[in-house]
Amino acid sequence: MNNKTVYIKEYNKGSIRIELKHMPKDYSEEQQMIVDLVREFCDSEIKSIESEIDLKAQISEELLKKLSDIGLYGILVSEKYGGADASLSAFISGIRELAKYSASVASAILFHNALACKIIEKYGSEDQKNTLLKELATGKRIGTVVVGDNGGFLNLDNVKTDADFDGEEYTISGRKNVVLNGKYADLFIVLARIKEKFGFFIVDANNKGVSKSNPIELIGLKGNGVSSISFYSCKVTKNQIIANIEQTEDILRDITDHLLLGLTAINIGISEAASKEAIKYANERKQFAKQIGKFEAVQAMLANIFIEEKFVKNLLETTCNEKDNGKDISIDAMVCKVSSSKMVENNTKSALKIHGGYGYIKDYPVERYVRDAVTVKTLCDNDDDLKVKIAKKILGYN
Amino acid sequence: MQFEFSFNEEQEKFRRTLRYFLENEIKPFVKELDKNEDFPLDNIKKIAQQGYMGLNVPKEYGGMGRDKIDYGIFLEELGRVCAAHGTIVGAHLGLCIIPILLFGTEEQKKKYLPSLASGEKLGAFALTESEAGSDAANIQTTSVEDGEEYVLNGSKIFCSNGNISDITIVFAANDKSLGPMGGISAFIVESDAPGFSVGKIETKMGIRASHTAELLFDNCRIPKENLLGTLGAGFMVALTTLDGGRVSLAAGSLGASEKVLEMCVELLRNDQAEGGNLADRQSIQWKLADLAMEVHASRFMVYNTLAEIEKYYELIAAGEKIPRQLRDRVSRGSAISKAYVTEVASRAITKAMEIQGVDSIKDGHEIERAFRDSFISEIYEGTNDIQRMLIAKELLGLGN
Repeated sequence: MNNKTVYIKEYNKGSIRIELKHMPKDYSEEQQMIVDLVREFCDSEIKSIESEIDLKAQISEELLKKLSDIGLYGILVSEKYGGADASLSAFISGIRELAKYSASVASAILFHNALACKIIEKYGSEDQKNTLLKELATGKRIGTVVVGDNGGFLNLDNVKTDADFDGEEYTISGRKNVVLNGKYADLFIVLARIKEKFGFFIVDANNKGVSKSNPIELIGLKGNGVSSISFYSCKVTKNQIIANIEQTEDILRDITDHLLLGLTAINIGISEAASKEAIKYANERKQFAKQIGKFEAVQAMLANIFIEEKFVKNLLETTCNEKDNGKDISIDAMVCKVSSSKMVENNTKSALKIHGGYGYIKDYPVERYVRDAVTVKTLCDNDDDLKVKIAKKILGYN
Repeated sequence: MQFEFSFNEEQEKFRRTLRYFLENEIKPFVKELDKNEDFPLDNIKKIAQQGYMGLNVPKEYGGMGRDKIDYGIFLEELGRVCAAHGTIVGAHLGLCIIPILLFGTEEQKKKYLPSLASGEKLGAFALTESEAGSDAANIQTTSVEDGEEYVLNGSKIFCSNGNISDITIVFAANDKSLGPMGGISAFIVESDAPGFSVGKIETKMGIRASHTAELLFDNCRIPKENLLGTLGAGFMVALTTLDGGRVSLAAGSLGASEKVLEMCVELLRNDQAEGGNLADRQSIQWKLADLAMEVHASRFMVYNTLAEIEKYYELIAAGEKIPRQLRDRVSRGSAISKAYVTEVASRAITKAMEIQGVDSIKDGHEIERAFRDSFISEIYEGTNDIQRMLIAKELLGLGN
């Protein structure tokens, strides 16, 4: 954990200054620093425009720039390539904090950093790292990763996007229907079928064989810019393939862990934002001559929110630490995702119900939390598929 | 045979006619109306032309004279198509027309029912205030007798149709010291009454084509003959109206549940026909089966309760004295149906999203809209927590 540096941002009367502050001694200290950094940033830059991101269904250029200024695009990347070299635990804590303000922004950072950057750093060639990774880590470019044709990382059976090799270059053809970050990304890391196997390709958004749709209008996570991308005889060189085809499975396993842990962090963040609002409202709102928080039925709802949140938070923290320590956490990551989906769904709905009619109007943020939660749940791999994987493991099936 | 748990031919015919009309004349517009938060004036006109805006009004006052079962069928069918339309029509038929029918004088019925029944005028119901939500009795709006008029002061919130309606049933405290029973009165307020104005219109998560307004009463003067029921009997007017309103709201949720069940079956059959394996998966089959079980139970619950409400309202309209026991039983049945069936709808829609995946969360998809719409059913006309409180108190004889 030596040589670790974290960017700390300080505000001087509104001006943004980034400096290298000090070297944390352990995980928790590093984690705390990143959480503080993100909170401070969000309080000043995101809090006032949270609902605007949802209503306008986009993250502004200005905010994207600021996110890059404070170094959020490269937290996980090593210093050598312009990042902050944070542990996964610290990164995930930052995502969770970010999601309390905007799940759209948190998911954008997750796909860029924990997926796109991570793949290149861990499996990319030195050349890819020196050029692309540096640009990604400093926010000059925005990346994303696309696996299943209909979103998700688990189901490869339905991948029809294929890459044909003519000895010189690959020609990618197909369509990815659900691409997170699609609106903002100028670099796609795309899984395509190469005969019976699969490979990850780095595809530039400017490649003339790439066609981006307008963002898909979804019920929630509206700022993420989820789009669909078509590849029409899209030519890429063999240098644009990541590692070799034999390693694709390892890459997939690795980034699936990151995806599931990141989504869990987003779910927890959304839930924490919702529960904060619910607690505030229960303390303020009086009916029958007392605060509604004094009614046992409301207390039970709040206690359930707290219990479920606490359980998943601890689970996530433990799992991230284990991943940082090199353990195989693939099943635990699935457990995190499935339990957090249920948790955030219940908690956001309860928070809305505690607000009564006020929960249903756009003056309060809880209805957005409900919409964001169901979107996170539906967009990537569904929980039934994850349960099948978990069960097969328990049963000892392949 | 005592138990007739089926619809007769006439009712089935009514349903078929309705479904054809709603599918062809209303459904094509609901997506845009929801998106733009437009009140569906043209659609309401079409509904009125069919006579449905006077569905529950006796023929002598220009209505269709249909009973509660038909009313349930109407709201169930509307619920399949658009919850916002259900809310608009439910507020008009169930919350404005019903209290006039049950508690109005002959003069009031003659004056207001024909134009409401023809759809020339739209009705609304204003009970909720910023400090009187779940605690509906905590009404702060006041009414003071002044010569030949009542003067209303205060404000109402979350009033469905409030900014569009011509006739609104408004509840105000005539004497706070008397408590809800005796201290609250109901008034028929016409929208051109002096001192009446519309405040904020809410932007909502769902039922966006239905408008939800704040109503302001600033020395609003109402002719004395517009008192609905006797002075101080307003809270009973509200509770009795809501007994029926809640079941009809449940009927709308039943329609929404049935619709998503059908959509799931259709999707799975299509997937199977195209060689997909979704229909073979037990995770999907079990969800579908759960959904079917709950929809099945909901249908019986809704129509059973509606049949009870029908008899209950007949007694009230006939001016009979209602035994406390009967009133409580009907209220409990209504609360049970409302809470259960609206929650079934929410679960059904959530399951449907799990079955249908990404397409179902795209803006404008029927399930996407149904999801956003579903939450309000668990909140309005008494949150489901309030329903639970009512049910438990009634069972335990704890009173209110």
